[in-house]
Amino acid sequence: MQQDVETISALKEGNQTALASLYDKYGGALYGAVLRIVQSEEKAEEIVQEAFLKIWKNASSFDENKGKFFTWALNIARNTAIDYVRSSDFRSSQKTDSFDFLVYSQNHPSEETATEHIGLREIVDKLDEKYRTVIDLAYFQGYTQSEIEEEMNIPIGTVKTRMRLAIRELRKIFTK
Amino acid sequence: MDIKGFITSGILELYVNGLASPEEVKEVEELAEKHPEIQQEIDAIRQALEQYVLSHQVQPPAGLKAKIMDRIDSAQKPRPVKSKPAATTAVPSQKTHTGYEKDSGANVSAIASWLLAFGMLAAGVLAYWFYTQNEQARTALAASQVQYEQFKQACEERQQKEDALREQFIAIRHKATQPVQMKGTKLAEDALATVYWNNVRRTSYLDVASLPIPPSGKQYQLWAIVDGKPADMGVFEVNTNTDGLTPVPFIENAQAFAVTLEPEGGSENPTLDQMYVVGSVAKG
Repeated sequence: MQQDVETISALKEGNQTALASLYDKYGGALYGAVLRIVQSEEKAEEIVQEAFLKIWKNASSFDENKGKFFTWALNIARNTAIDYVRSSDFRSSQKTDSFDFLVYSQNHPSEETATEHIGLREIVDKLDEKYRTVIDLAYFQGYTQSEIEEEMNIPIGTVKTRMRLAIRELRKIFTK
Repeated sequence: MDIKGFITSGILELYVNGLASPEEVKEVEELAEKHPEIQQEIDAIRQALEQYVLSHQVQPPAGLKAKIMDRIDSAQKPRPVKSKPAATTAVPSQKTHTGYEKDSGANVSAIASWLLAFGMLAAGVLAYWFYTQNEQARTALAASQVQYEQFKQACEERQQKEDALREQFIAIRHKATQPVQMKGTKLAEDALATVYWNNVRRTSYLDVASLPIPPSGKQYQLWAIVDGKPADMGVFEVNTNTDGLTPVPFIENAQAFAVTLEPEGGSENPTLDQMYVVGSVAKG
């Protein structure tokens, strides 16, 4: 991912075209991540709007020395989505089938993947399900350690080990 | 400070995934500032997760971009607050066809239009001032909201931790709780760990007082012994556990507990010559 230095400085100056081109570049990734969290296309659309509005309004607080733009934008989108999921009664209604999102994100008919990632996507989907689940719960759903423990019914020590192994697997995939 | 050990301890993965406790977050951030290799590791973990996200892109609905651009458009554009040139034409001509209008009448009309123009200009300036004030307040509010959300999250985490600790405290004090001390074997004579076993509430907690740090690729695993047969109670970490006791599965009719060193992820059967601590449940 090349750096977006010029686009970002234009964004900070309130240039709308800059926002549009950042949307073109990252909109799919943010929408994909949000959809994974909220499990509803309608809601995901709303939340991605909110996220881009926040990105637009808080662009001046983004500090490129502290990290990449994508990291920052993804955090905004994730937090907005997780806040939504946590604030509504969404969670209790989903509790019984909270693993649906795994199925959802794999089989959704309208889902399209950016071409450059198709190959990787297949490899990532081969990642052991127990690793995928722990990443999904922590990184996407914002679960705490004890919530993961409860959800997956494994002791906390195992949560930690699995997380470490999961990241190790991911890193192996992406450094290939 | 053992930097390499810290990097491989798994705490950085928890940190990037938002699973670390506030104290751990502080520790990680302080160390990352001092040791670039820790920062590099954090970046690499984050990169892996972001690649994961990028590999799951979904084409957003077609109209989404337009909606966003519309909203920033209306969020940004100040409402036009011009002092209208209408001020000069706003006063209807007072001329009549009598030809008798007095000079003083013309003066009144001129003064009135000046006043009106001035008033409108002042209103425009005020409106603009209110507008900028409002924008500033909004920016400040957005920043506070972000901060509030962070605090709220930290607070919830604390609450959860407190609940867990309270639950442990209640469990330990419960009259049916038996502390089963597991003493070190000849592999580590100073080792000590305790299982708080309660066959009324059907809960067990593990408290590790002292166990040698396991070599990399190895992990401790807890077992219960029931009628001479081992029952798996899961693997656990020693070095990063600062959150009190570790809840472990309840095993009925346990007669003894033991901890063995196993390959990472645990084994199906205990490696008996790698038993580090063991202790029997008092008969009662």
